[in-house]
Amino acid sequence: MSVESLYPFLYEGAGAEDVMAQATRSTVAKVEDIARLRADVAARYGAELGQCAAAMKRALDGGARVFTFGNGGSSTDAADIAHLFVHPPHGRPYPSACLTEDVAVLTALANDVGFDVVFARQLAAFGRSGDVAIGVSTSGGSANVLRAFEQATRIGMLTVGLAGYDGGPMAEAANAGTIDHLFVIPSASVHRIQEAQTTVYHVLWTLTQEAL
Amino acid sequence: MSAADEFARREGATSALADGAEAVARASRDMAARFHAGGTLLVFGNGAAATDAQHIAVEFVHPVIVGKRALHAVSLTGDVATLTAIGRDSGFEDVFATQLQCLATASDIALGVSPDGNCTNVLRALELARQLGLLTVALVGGDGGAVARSGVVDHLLTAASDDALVVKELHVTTYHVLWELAHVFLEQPGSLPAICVDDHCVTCSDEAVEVRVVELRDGDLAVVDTGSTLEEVSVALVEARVGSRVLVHAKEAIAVVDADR
Repeated sequence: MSVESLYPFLYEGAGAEDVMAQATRSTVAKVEDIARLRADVAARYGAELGQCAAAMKRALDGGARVFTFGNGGSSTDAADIAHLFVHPPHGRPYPSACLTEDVAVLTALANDVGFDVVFARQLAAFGRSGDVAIGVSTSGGSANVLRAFEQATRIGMLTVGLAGYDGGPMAEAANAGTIDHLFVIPSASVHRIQEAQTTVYHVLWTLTQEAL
Repeated sequence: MSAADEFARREGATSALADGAEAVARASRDMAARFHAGGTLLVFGNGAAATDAQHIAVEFVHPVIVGKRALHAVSLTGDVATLTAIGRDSGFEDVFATQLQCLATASDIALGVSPDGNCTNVLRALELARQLGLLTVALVGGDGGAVARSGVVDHLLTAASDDALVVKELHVTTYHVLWELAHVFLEQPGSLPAICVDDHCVTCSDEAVEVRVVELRDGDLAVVDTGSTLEEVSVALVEARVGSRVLVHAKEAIAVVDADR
């Protein structure tokens, strides 16, 4: 997908006012896209989000910790999820940690072993049976996220995945039983996928805070 | 509430975002003008907004669309050593302004993210940015709080919700669009406004400079590329065409150097 294909009008000698008008129209179109996408996700996963939140709530009340991980923009989502549990805007705090936050650990593992293991090795060190692992990927194909889910499953953690497109290898992992709850955002836009994923994890957190 | 109810209560605020589409486009255009002039994007926020600041920085530095150029952006939340040192020495309210004072130049962009508009450290950084001549942009929610009332923000983009979680979701869409449109405007340099950094633009100096015409405008005006900025000058005295190289003195083109060099 190129900017040229999204904005063909720009490459036909449009003036400054035309560019502004088209940019405004394209913004409206993107807002309509994300509104439709959220409605799709709600219809597709409404019931499973409730089940997943109930399972997370049972785990948390049993003393579980929540470990989160992802790469790039998704690493900032992982950090946001961990911060929501530890320091919530309201409700009860629960222990949580984002596996991208300790740069010393991350670079040590990447340098000494390889980037594919940076999350799995941390789960091997910190994770306990009954803990919760939440992995975020837009493609569904991040090798280090997939390795982390395999490790989490070996340990006996509750595993929750957020993916985009058609779910990619994470969809296969869910079929194989290494991801208990997988939420695939059906879009081909990395941006719209991330926006809908933000809503998904906000709703999951909100539901875990409600009495179940 | 059920998951479906939770999704449904986002609908109103999302459609309100479309009403502010032109404001988002204008902010993107002015950010593009700063990038075109060599400016850096400095981003800051607290809590969830700190993760947004880092997301915004990575968005510009490492584009999701292959072939888009990397633009210089830095999150002021990423350097934990500096953040905690300033917090210890001057207080948490100065953690962003102190970094900005050290890192910023007048051609830069300051982007503050504050869901309720009442983060003191975000406001202080925006106030300093305005003093230093940066373009100031803020992503806020609710009534925009102290940031909205401060009068130091060039582009105030407000998510129409009082719920910090919903505000964040609308901010993610907003900054994705800011990134995409900034590239759209950058690829159409003629669409960019002239910027005058430090009250001194290249073409208004008292020295003839050679520039290239990128767009002719009504009223014998033209947009010229100075090599570092785009500025509007008069071409009333010369026969300039797009692509012409002209000598400009005090905003007036005084000679065509070489029409198609």
